Amino acid sequence: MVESSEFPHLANKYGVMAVPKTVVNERVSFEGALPEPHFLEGVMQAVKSAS
Amino acid sequence: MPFLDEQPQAQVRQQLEGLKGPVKLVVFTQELECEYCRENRALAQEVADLSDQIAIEVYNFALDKEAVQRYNVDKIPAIVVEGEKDYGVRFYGVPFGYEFASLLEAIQSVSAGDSGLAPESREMLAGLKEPLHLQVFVTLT
Repeated sequence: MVESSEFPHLANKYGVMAVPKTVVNERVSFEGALPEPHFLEGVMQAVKSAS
Repeated sequence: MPFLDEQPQAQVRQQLEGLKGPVKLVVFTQELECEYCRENRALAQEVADLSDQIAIEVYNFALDKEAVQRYNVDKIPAIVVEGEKDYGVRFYGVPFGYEFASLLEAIQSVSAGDSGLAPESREMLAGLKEPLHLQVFVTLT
């Protein structure tokens, strides 16, 4: 967990506007509080596209 | 002044009653130039006080370089939620508001040594070929 207002430079770096925003391996991100299966899909997709 | 009043204290104590294994809240803080470090440490201490299974360890981010390196903490305030081993759970920024519930959930799953994820999820994660770094950006409201 990273609390955006305490780390504005990071929130800026990753273009955090809507929260929650999940950043995967510092490269790919997706927004929203997703149900578990969608979250997992989002993570695995992000891993694939970041590699 | 405590963050948790009597009623929330009782609720948290109850929620933490069933903790199976010991949990350590490893707090990284600093004396100067860290706006919420004091609150973060105080909140972690309050939570640790509500369960015999939870201990607290405090390190100085500037001075305790070995610990900083060991836990790979790169910013403060930080709380590492560690159980029998370090599962990589870190809270950066004070876990007030909605994140307080996340902290309690983290303590529970770390204590159990179980992520609580569905079998399908575990299967997907088993396919990972490289380390995974997840940063979830939140706000407190």
